[in-house]
Amino acid sequence: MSEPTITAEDLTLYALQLLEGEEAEQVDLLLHSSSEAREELARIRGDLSLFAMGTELQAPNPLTRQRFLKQVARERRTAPVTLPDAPEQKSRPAVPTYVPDPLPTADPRDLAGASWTPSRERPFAVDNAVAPVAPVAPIPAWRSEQSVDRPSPQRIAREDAPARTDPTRLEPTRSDYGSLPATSFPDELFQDEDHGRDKFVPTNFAFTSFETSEEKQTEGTSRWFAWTGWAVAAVLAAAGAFAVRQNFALRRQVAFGTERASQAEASAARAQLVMQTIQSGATQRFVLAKTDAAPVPSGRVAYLPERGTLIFQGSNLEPLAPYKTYELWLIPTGEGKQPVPAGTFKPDVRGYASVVLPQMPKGIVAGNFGVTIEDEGGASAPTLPILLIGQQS
Amino acid sequence: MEEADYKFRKNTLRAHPGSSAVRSASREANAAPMDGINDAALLNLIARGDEAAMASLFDRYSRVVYSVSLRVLRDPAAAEDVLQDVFMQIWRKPDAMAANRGSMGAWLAVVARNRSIDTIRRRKPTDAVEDVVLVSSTDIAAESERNGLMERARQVIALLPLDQRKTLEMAFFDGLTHSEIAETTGDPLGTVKTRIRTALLVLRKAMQS
Repeated sequence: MSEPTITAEDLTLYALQLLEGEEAEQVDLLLHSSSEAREELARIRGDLSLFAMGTELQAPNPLTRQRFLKQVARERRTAPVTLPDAPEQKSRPAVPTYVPDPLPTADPRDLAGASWTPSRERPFAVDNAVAPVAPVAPIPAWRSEQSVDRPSPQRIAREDAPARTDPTRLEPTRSDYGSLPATSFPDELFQDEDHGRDKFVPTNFAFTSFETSEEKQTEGTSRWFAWTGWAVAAVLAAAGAFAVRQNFALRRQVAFGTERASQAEASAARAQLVMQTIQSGATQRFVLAKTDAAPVPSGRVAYLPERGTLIFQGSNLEPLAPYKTYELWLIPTGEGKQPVPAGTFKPDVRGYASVVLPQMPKGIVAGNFGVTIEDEGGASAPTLPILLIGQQS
Repeated sequence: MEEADYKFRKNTLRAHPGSSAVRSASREANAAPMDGINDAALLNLIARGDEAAMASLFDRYSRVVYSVSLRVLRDPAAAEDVLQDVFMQIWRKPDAMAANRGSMGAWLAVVARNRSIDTIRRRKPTDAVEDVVLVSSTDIAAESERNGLMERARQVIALLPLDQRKTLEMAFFDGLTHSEIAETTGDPLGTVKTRIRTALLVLRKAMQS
């Protein structure tokens, strides 16, 4: 069997959305694999746009514009967060490198911002409980210095020796941080670092008369431990803030999920009712016809091509011989198309039968439906005669 | 009766003395002057949630979209629904309409036609708008360019052989399949396909020259 050939004419019909079913699927396959075909399709659409441009211009009703803008306002989006090159940040002192400082990051808002990624594709604002702020990473130094007027560990580390020996310059003590919120820097953290805290008590002796190399080393280690406390505090505060934010997000997700689940549950319950009504042996069925009409075998099909879903209900069907079954067939549009099996069924004692959602390929447009009698298990091609044939309503 | 209603509505729109004033006032209220901004920049602003940019894009291309839809649907109310739908798609998915779609106006014209045909056939949209990629050398962001291009397109289309033009119109504006066209005109199926293709090639060549 040779491969189907797709010409530029076929692509044109595809661009016009005039191909359906198998023909469209073949073009889809080609487009998937051939960039040349995709390019030609784009060119054809360009040609079609030129043809569309030949349309005489008409102005829509002015109220349409108002209606549209109202809808836009209803689906309002927030502007994305200002990117780092925004003017308001440009006007501030530019700092080429970021100096990590645990103190500013103790601000929960900053920490919350750490997990937020600025994106142009950011969804609508209603689900953002925390106001968006700039990411933590590029925090400029001006902000650190403005918000906390005390040396950071890094700044202390960079201090040269003469500065440290200056008796007028005092190292920070714990009391220096007394005004900070207790929630940001819990006392336990200080208590765990007692020796480190002691090293923050200023003493001239420590730096002049009695300073030995060993003491220098001890002091450095202690200083490190002391600032480790701050770092731990900052990290814990960051983790706390992050946890709070995550908590909000999770709550929203849970609420949303619960709502979705209840909707799905209601929908599933309704679908189940429909199925029971169709399929149950206790269902009372009535076929309405002219009052003097004799009951005749009949069937009704509801078929949704794009989903490949089908429901068939037969009535007044004659009993079958053993090892025989009725089989429903979808007869596709177009010449030469083979009927597609659409389910087998057997009538009950009252002559009723149903086929609900049989296995069907999607996208086949039905020209008609028919019912035949086949051997038990069904057939791949219909066996004549066709007992029931459809008429689209 | 339907035809009479249509004419009545169309004439009302054209002749209504207050319509332009209404539109102007509405523009002042909702849109900043963005006539000099190109489509890509407008889309960028729209991506940031700029409603004035969205209004500006609507003002720029609503007539094209509406006209194509009206030509297909022949029903102003249905065409306005398509107009609203197409532009709301842009508002909801501005990134999907990124500048790689070629000319915005050309793209909108094709999308409007496809959505209108979907409406006629009472089916769900067959193409996601972001899947409609086209190549067009025309840029009709400026109103003068837009009017010039449309006038030229009309002239070229008028020069097409009658059978080609009619066949293309049936396919494009009426949404008839090649089989339905062949059945209607009595022409062989292959002839119908060739006419559609040839008409488009003639149009392409004439517009490029």
